[in-house]
Amino acid sequence: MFLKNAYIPIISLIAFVTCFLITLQVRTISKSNTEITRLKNENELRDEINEWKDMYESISYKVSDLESKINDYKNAASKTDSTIKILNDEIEDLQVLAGLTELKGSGVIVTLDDTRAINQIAADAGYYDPNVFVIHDSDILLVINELRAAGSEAISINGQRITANTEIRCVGPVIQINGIRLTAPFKISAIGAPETLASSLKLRGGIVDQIAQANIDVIIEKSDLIVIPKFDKVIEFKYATSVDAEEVKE
Amino acid sequence: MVVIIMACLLGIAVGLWAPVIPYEFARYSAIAIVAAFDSIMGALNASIKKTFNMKIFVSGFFVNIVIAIGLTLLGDNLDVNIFLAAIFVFVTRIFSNFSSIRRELINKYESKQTSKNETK
Repeated sequence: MFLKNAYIPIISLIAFVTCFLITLQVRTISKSNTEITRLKNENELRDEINEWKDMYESISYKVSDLESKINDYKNAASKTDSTIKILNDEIEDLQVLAGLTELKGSGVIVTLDDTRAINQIAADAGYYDPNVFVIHDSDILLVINELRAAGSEAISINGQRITANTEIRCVGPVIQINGIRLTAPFKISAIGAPETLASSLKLRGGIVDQIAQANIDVIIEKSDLIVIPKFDKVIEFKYATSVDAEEVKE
Repeated sequence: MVVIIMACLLGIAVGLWAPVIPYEFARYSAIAIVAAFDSIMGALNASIKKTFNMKIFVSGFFVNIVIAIGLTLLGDNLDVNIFLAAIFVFVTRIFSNFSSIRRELINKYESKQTSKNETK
C-alpha cells in the first residue's frame, strides 16, 4: 500500500469512528422501525375497534331477538300448563329484581357535571389541578347509596343499569360501569318517590352539599316518567353455586 | 494494514455494545456517517492522484461531521430541510469522487498496457 507508517494510527482512528457510527446507526434504525410500525398500527387498531363495535352491535340485536323468541315459547307453554304459569310469574319477578327488564315509573334524574366555573376556580387558585374538578367514582357511589337508602327501586347511569354486581370504578379520566367507560356528564336516573329521593339528596350537609364542595355541578330533576333500561349483558356464575338446605344442616 | 482492520472490528464491537441512540437523534448520526464516507472517498481519490495530504483528510473528516450535524440541527430549529441539502452535497461528491477514481484507474491500466505493447 501507499501508506506511510506514521499515518496508521490516524487512519485506524478514523476507521474505528466510521465503523462505530455505522454499527450504532444500523442498530438504532432496526430497533426504531418497530416503533414506527407501532405508530402505523394505531390507525389499524382503531379500525379494528370499530369493526368489533359493529360486530358487538349486530350480536346484541341477535340477543334481543332470541330473548323475544324465548318469551314467545314461555307464553305458549304457560297457556297449556298452570304450574309453568306460576313459574313464569316467578321468573318475571326475579328478572325485575336482577335488572333484566326495562322498568318505568316516577323518580328523579340527578345530573353530575364538571363545574362550569373551572376557569374561574383555576384562575383564583393560580394553577390548574384536574383532580379538583374531575368527578370521581366515589361521588357517584355516594349518590347511588343515598338514592338506595331513600328507597329507589331501580337505578341507571348514562343508560347502564345498576345491578347487584355492577362495578363503579375509576379508569383514568373516565368511570367504568358494567365494563363500559362513561364520561361526564353523568345522568343518574332512579325510580322511586320523587319527593323523597330529591329531599334526601338535598339534606343540609347531605350528599349534594358535599359534592358541590368538590366543584361538581349537581342538577336534580323530578319526573313522572323515567325509563330505566335493562342490564344488557349475560349474568354468569362461574364459581358460585346455590347451597341446598340439607347441606347446611350437616 | 492489520492495525486498521483491527480498529474497524473494534469499532463494530463498541457499536454493538454501546446504548442505542434515541430515534430523534438518528438523523444526525446518519448525516455524520454520510459526511465520513465523503471524506474517505475524497481521501481515496487524492491518494490515487498522489495529492493526498493527511492534515486535510483528518481535519476534513471531523469538521465535515461536526458541520453536517450542526447544519441539520440548525435546519430542524428553523424548520428548513438543510438535512437534505447536506445529503445532496455529500452524495454528489461521493459519486464524483468515485467516477474520478474509476477514470484514474482505467487511465493507469491503459497506459500500462500500451507500455507493455511498446516493449514487445
